[in-house]
Amino acid sequence: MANKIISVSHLNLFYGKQQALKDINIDIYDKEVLALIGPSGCGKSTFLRSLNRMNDLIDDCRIEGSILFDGKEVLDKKTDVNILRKRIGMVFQRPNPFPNSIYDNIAFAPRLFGIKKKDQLNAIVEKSLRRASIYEEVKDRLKTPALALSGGQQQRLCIARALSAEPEVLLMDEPTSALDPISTAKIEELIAELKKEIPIIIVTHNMQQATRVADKTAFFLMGEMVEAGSTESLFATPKDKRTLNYITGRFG
Amino acid sequence: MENRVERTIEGIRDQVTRLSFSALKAIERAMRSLKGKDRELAKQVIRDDNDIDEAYAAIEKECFSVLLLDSPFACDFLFISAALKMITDLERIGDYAADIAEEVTYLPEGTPFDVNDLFVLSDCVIALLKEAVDAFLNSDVEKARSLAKKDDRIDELFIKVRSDVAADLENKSIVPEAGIVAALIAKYLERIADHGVNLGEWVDYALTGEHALS
Repeated sequence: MANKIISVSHLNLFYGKQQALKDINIDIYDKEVLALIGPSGCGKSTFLRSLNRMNDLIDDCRIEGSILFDGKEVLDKKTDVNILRKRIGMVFQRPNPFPNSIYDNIAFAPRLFGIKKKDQLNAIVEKSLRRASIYEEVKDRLKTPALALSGGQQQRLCIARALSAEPEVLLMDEPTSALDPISTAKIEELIAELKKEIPIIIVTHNMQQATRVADKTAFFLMGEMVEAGSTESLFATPKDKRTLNYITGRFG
Repeated sequence: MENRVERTIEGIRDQVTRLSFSALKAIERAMRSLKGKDRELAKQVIRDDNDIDEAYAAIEKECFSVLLLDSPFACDFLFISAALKMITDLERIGDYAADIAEEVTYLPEGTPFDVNDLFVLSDCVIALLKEAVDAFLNSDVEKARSLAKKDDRIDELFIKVRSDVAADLENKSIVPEAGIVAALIAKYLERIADHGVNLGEWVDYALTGEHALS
């Protein structure tokens, strides 16, 4: 049986007086992809951002409950969020490369964590780009601006950048929503490769994408995690009527 | 308010229902043609099989269209998948009805045809099929699951008819041609019952997502 990497229990999150997450309980296991689905505003991205404390950046955000990662409490005030975010990497909806070279984008995190030797940095850059399946496309132009790459390439570059910190978990917030089908397929193939090494949690509005890439799927609605389970059973025989209504488009 | 997929599925459900009754009617008429040695009716059953084939093709096309264009999930996906499998069984049942009718046309005129239990067998097969259709119409999982047991009785009857025919041929109480016709019809009926059981299994799948292989 796969190792439990993250264990979320009784997680409640408030933006001011408004409760955005309601008593979320879920375990996340090694080497599997978990897809989070649900309508806009249901809390799936909020949940994703809770896992590496990205919600700390939002004023008036209060969080209760427990998120255990590697046996330690993520929500503990003493947790070093920089270290946490190195260990739990994140890729966003829109590719957001830094406005400098491809090489410097990837070398950024290793430099931040103290690696200065050129050959060591070169090795990390190459390995990260290879893991993100973009090395062959950019190996001869590492010093050119990252912003000159296509949207799909930029997103894979951002994945490479996240991987350069050797994360133990990867969070992806609608990583292909701005990409064409070919770029999307490349990212999905990449997810299938990466999950052999680390767990991936992906927020997606595309249910076909969830069925293609995810081992497990969780359905969120109005801050509640209505149902979670194997992707096949959730999409074939959902247990909750609300899940059924959502995945079959029976919402009014 | 129903969405487009729901409306399409309701349309497919109606078509599968009509196809079920057409297949059932084809067997009843084929057996009636045998009982009355009615060659004209038998020929009509054979001709009408084209309608069953056309209905099958139309439903298949519509199911593929939903799968391609709507990527249905959950009960919608289960229903479309089950419908595709059910219409294959129904189309085969129609073929067997035509095969039975064809055998009727081979019966030598004026020869006695009195095979014990062949009509008992056909009554059981038709009853099983009616239950399968009923399980589909009423989304009745229990009824759908009960069909396999009923098929056991049909298998036993088939074996009995088969040995009766062999005995009748042995003691020359029927002519060889009639013996062949009886044995083939018995086999077709036994196969029709198997397809009836399949129908039940797909009704079960459409409702529960579980599929037991018979």
